[in-house]
Order: sequence, then structure tokens, then C-alpha cells
Amino acid sequence: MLKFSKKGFDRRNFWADYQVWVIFSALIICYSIISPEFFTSTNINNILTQNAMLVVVSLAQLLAVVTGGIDLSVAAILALSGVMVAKFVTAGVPVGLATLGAIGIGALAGCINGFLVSKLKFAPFIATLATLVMVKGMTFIQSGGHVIYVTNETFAFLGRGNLLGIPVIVWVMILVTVLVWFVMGRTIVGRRLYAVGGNPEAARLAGINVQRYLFFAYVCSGALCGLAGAFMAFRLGAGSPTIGQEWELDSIAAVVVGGASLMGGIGTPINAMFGAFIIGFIRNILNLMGVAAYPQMIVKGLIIILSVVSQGLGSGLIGFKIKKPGGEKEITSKERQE
Amino acid sequence: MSYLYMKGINKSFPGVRALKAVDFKAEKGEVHAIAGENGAGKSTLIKILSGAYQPDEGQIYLDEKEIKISTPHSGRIQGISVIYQELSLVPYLTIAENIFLGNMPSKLGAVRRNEMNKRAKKALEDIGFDLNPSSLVKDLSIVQQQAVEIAKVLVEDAKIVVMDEPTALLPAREVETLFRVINTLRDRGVTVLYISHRLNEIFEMADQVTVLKDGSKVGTVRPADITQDELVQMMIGRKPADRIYWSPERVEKLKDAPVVLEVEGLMGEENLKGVSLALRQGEILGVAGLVGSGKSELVQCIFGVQQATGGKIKIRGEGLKHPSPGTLIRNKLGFLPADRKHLGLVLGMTIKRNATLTALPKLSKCGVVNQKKEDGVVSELIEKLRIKCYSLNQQVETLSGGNQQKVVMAKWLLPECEVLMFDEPTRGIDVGARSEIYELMVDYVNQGGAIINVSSDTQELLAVSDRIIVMGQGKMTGIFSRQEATEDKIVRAMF
Repeated sequence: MLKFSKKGFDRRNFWADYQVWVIFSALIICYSIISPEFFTSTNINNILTQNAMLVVVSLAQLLAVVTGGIDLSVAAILALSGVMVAKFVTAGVPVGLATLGAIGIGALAGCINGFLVSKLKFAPFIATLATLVMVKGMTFIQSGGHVIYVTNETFAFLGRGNLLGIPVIVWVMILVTVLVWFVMGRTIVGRRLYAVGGNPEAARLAGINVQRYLFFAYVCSGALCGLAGAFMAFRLGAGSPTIGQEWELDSIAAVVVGGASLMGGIGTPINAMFGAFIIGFIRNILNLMGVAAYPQMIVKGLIIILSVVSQGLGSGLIGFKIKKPGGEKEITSKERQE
Repeated sequence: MSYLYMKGINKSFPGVRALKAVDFKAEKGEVHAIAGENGAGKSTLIKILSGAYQPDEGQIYLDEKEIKISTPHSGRIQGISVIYQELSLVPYLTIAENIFLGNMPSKLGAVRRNEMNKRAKKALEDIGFDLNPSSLVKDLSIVQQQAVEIAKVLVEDAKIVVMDEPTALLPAREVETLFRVINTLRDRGVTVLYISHRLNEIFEMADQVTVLKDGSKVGTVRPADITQDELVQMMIGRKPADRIYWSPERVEKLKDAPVVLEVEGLMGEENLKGVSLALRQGEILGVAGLVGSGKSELVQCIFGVQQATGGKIKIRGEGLKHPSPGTLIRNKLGFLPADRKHLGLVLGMTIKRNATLTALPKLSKCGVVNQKKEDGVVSELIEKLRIKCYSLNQQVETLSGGNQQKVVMAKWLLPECEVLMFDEPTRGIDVGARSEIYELMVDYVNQGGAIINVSSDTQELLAVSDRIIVMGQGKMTGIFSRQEATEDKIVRAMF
């Protein structure tokens, strides 16, 4: 009689999957000790609002990372679409249409990435670096290097208003997270994206059109950044060409802290969301403690290193030996002999 | 005392006793094979010897002295080197640089290239290889790369060399070359510990063979004193099952069965020069041939892994225009590649997700996967194929070779493929699991499937095939019905 459970989890991956939650809880505890007002609804609203779009950009990053790639152009696309939304609205375009325009611009930039990566077989790093530079140039051409201020009621409502007591921008974050979670976790498309990232050759032999899925991932990534850019502009009440600086790095950090593998095939949207909050929290906590911006970067770097090291320790991928390795892992290496 | 003596080695992992008081002795200058099924403890024993694991109890003596091996590095220094199946050479360095990697002869920090090259050339000549020490390792054949590894351990003055399945990736004609090198090592007084699943190699090369089973030593014998069957019995502890799965009745039934797959004059880019065949429902068609004969290219071109340059493929009488994996799968054809780990599976994904990768549309509604249904069909298959696992969410990376192959099979059974093409279905799979795979193949054709089975193992082809094609230099050089096929005829048609 065979024994296996339908639900059982793989202990080997347990730490990799859940460490992000541990770090997250630890940070909340730190935070509430440092700042007694932490659990006030104003403060929670603030934190959510501040980090909502970083979450969306991190989810965009995750799409690229899951396919075994990387998207360096996320922040540049965010800035361009923010500027464009502001320009559209100033020119009299309705806000809804302008938002769709921003998403379209993001998707278009994503198309360039997708084309370079899937058709021309560029390394994602190079392809998205090229797009980053081009998009950045475009942003400054369009804005003339200036911040474009917008006075428009809908604009302000979407950026700072509340719906059922929760900021609109947080609703957007929740919707996007649920959508990405659903697509990645529950649909054929998601399954195939993970397979393409985990082993493109095996995916091809399973009849999956690898190029199409790579293209799709970058286009979606771009579109999400376009959406995030629009909402950043709403929040600021302006389109700024320098918004989202370093978000390409923050978003990569977020997905990595969230347990995604830059080799592809591993990483969940929910964990990426927590990863983004961790990165945001660190900034907030250090601000509260009065740490200046540059030392903050050092702390952020250390957190990334720590999280990767601890994941490696948990799954035995890094060359340190723990005295008592997890049971599953050892049976594994024994089974693996052949 | 023996030259190498591992005394009373015990090793436990949580939940498993991997080695139970194993005494292992090897003499100086002998080839000592270690045999056993997967999970018998061969790897654990080797890893303890190399320093990758520490034993819970037991001592290791080398040349009458007790030694402590805390890391693989300290093992190497004390003269114990392991050559793994996946070679650990740096492709873009030269032969000489690889041989001396880690201790290059130098003067004031600058590498003395001439001396290094001279010494590398000498080391290679000692084992019978004439290679230019300044050529890059990436340009070498596998056996040449193995020679470089061996030269490397010789330069490091190894006393014990462990070879883990050295012939697994080697083309048949290069096996002899490797054996010559092993003989040279033996003549120089080096002790070679040889791990292999191929029993005939053990009989050809080994002076002694130690058999492990379930973590215990069964015994050490001289291959000359026993037969292959006896050795298999020592390994699996029971009589090998009747190895013939083929029956004349089945062949009789095939005469009226419809043709499911027809190939006419198939040409490939390199090694396929016009091959035609027809496969009937319920048939297992074996394809024999040496490496480079075009036998793997044949199935790869049919499945569209490689682009065919000419010829026709018909499935149930209908011609295929552009064969690609996608169109072939839609026509209910599946392919189980020889390189399971890199082509057949997404190692980091779970059993469930690998198994359903080809059948997702069937398990979904509007693109959303019905997870209950998925769990159900995968559980059923796990039971049907007897896949040993603790959960259907277990990563396939952690399964043994035989169970991985079963997951690949599950992947093609789910979309109800009517033709399966196996490339080396039992490579790297131990004896017990092999017969299970054969049984599954026979079950599959009995239920109306058809199989093309490409294999380097003639015994395997004779055991399961209804008909056997022999390939040579991209062409069909022989075709035998099962009644007339013998190992002798097949091998002669290969050359």
C-alpha cells in the first residue's frame, strides 16, 4: 500500500516559502516597539499607501523573475507612464482613458523587452537595461525634465481618496495582488510560466510555446508598471520624471526576500507582496529612528544578503553545514544516488 | 590488514539508517566494484570515504594508519579522489590549467606555463592519451575529459580513485578506452573503486565486487567466481523476474492492428538519411544502434525536437505538415527523452505539476485549473505507476531515477497519448525499477498504445520488443521480427 498525503508540504522548502512571513512579523514587532502609534489606523493606512505601488512593481518584477529573467526597466516605465498620465489629463483627456493610456504605454515598453528576450534571445538583463535607458530618455523628452502638476478632482480622488474607509490606491494594490495570485497559482498560464522558468527545454518538449510565454510575461510586467506609474502620479498630484528611483532594485530585492529564485521557476505573488512590504518597512523604521538615507541603503543590502543566506541554509543550497540537517533533505540525497 | 579498510561504518539520517556496520576492504592496485540497487548505500559509503559525510561510528584505515577525512579537500590531500558522473572541469580553461587547477607550478606568482604543459602532457601520456595540453577542455570528447580528470588525480598523487558511473554518459566505443585507462591505474598501484549499474562492466573490469543492500554489506566476491544472475540475486535478494515480457500471441494479434504512425524517408540535419517505418497499435518497436547511428535523432525528428529536413510523418493515415512538440502532442504522441533531468522534467516543480503539464487544458475550465480534479487524477496515476513518494507535492528532484521516469510517463499518460517514444528508458535506473518500467510499457501497449523504444541495451530490446530495427550511420541496417532476433544478429547489424 502506498502512503502519500494529498496535501502534505515539502519540508525542504518550508523555510524558503515562509521565511518572508517570519521576517515580516519580526519587523512589525520591531516597528511597534519603536513606535507605539504603529497600530493606529492612520499609521497602517499610511504604510499601506506608501508601499502599495512598490507592491505592484514587485509583482511586475516577479513575472519576469519567474520566467528566469529580470526586468530592470520597471522603474523607468513607471516614471514614463506617470508623466504621460499627467500630460494626458492636462490636455483634457478623461482620467480613466489616460490611465488606460498609461497601461498601454507600459505594455508597449514591455513588448520591446519581450521581443528582445523571446525573439532575439537577448539576455533579459541586457534587453531590459536597453529599454530602461530608452524609456528614461523618453521620459525626460516628454516632461522636459519638469514635474507636471495636475489639478483635477478625479485625479486627486484616485490618489488620495478613500473607498469604504480604505485608500483607493490600496484597493488597487489588493486587486492586482489577487489577480496576479490567481493567474500564477490557479490558471494554465501560470502553471506554464513556472514551467518555462523552471526548465525551458522541458517546457518546449511538453508542447508549450516558450517564446510566447516569455513575451507575455514581459508585456504584463510592463502593463503593471504602467498602472503603478499612473497611480503614483495620482498620489503625487503630478507626473514626475524622477519618481520611483531605485525601484528596479527595490523590486528585485522584494521578490528575492520573498523567496523567488533568480534562476526562475520559483516565487509566489503573495510572498513577493510581503517582500515589498519588508523593503518598505525597513525604510519606514529607519526613518523613524532617524537614520539617514545612505546608511539605510546599507541596511537594505544586508537584509537581502541575510534572507538569501537563510534560504540557502534552509534548503541546503549554500555550503554551510547545519549540525542536524532536515530529514527530508538527507533522504533525498540518498535517493538521488544512481 | 587491507590497504583500505573502512571498519564498522554506521551512518543514520533522520528516519533512515543508511549504513549498518559496513566493513569495506580494498587492496592496493585492484579494481573494486561496488554494486547495489538505488538506496543500497553506495553513495553514502563513497561520500564518507571522500569526506563529504562524516560517519556516526567507525574508522577508516589507509595503509595501516587510521585517517580522519573531515572534508573532500582533506580527502584529496590524503590521496582519496572521487571522479563524479558530472565532470568537474572548467570548459574554457586549457587541459593543463585544469589538471593543475589549484596548484599551478609558479614562480613569484606567475604561472610557469611551459613546465605546467610539459607535466600535463606527461601525465596524459602515462595513461595513454596524446593530447595537446594547451587545447581547451570544452573541445574534448567525454572520454578525453575523463582522461583529464584522471590525469589530474594522478598529478595529485591519488592512492584511491573512486569512479561514480564513469560509463553512464560514454558512447559505447569509448568505453574500451576508459577501461584501458583504468587498467593503467591498476598497474600503477592505484586502487580504483568502481560504481556502475552495468553488470557486464563489473564482470569485465573488476577484481572484486562488494554488494550492498539496504545499507548492509551482502558480501565481497570475485566476479570470476559467480554468474551475472547470482550477482543480481545478491543485489536484489530475490531471483530476477522472468526478463521476457514479449509473447508470440501478442505478435500474432499485431498482424491485423491498424498502423498508428508512419514515417517515410525521414531526413535529419546530421545523422538521419532517409528512414521509413510503420508502427502498429499495440506494438513495441525497438530501435537499436550505436551512439551516432541516428537512433536518437530518429525519434527527435519525429517529435520535432530537431527539425527534420525531409520525409513524411503520418499519424493514423494523416500527414503532418510541420512537426513540432505542440502539434505532435495534439496528435496524441509523447516523447520521453534520454536526458530526463534536463529535457523531461522541471526538477524544481512538484510531481503533480510535472505530471499535469501536458494535460492542463483537460483539467481546466476557462483556463482555470480545477485543483481537486488534478489532485484526483495525479493520485490515481501515482498509485497505478507505483511512484514512491510521500506526497504528490514532493519535488521531482528528490525522487530516484526510476520514479522520475515514472513521472515522465505520467505526463504522457494523462493526455491519453496513443504513441510513446522512449529514448533510453532505463538509463541510470537500477535493476528492480527497470523491470517495473518494462511492465508499465507492456501494460500500456496492452491497453491499446504503441511504443517506439530506442535503447543501447540490447537485452532490454530483446526483453520487450515485438520488432527490432537496427540503425547505422543514419540508415536502417537491419529489421528483425522478435522471433528471428538474437543479440548476435542485432550487434552485427550495428557495425
